[in-house]
Amino acid sequence: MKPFDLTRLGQEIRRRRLDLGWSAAQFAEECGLTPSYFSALEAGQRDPHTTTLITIARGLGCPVSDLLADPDTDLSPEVREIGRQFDQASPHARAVAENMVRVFRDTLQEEGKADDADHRGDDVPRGRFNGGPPS
Amino acid sequence: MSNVRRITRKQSETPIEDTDNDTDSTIIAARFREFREARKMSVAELARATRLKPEFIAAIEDGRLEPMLGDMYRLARGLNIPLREIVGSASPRAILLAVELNEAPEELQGAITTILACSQVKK
Repeated sequence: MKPFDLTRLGQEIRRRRLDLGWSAAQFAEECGLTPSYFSALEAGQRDPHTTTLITIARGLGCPVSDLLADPDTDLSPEVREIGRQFDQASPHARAVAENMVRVFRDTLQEEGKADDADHRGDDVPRGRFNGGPPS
Repeated sequence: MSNVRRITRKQSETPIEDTDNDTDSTIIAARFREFREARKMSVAELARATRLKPEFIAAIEDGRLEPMLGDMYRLARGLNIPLREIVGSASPRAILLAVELNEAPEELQGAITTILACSQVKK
């Protein structure tokens, strides 16, 4: 498992700090951090504690999550937006969305099993809707 | 920490949809537990997946021990959830759906976007 890219985090903090017009020394002081620690953090040489990250995000006026972009694991912007909309959708729409994903997943699993064991047609689909999309 | 609040923010730059600007470490600790439970994993299973000690994970979830970023990232990888979503504000249920959709065809993503967009609950 690759560790988190601390260089990326440092660069992101630095970019946002400069956008706001702060010097590293000023910003470190506002956050209650020593200038040497903060420089090392921006250089990607420190693994910060949670509260340090939170303090810095507050200072930068952004959510902590904005500092933690990670190309290896990030969701696509479209899918992030779906997650955001999900929480504001009606209970019925949420259930429908979850069922659609479940049917999709079950269909893939059934196809995988059929290909593996060559007993296509023997398996009863396990999805909540028995007639998923035609394969 | 109190003096940080004095920093003038460009409010317009903060995306409206992200309301997790007031996140604190206890909220993040609780989110790790919520996501582990949503994944139906035990602490022991997560410990095996991350090679972290179960007692260490339990202490983080209880807020007795404050993790460093590297630890949080390992836990997030073990849960197969992007770290920025764990520290974010969307519900675990929404994120589990999104993670699964991330690998799904665009057509399915589009269909689900349409269904959700049609039913946005007015607040």
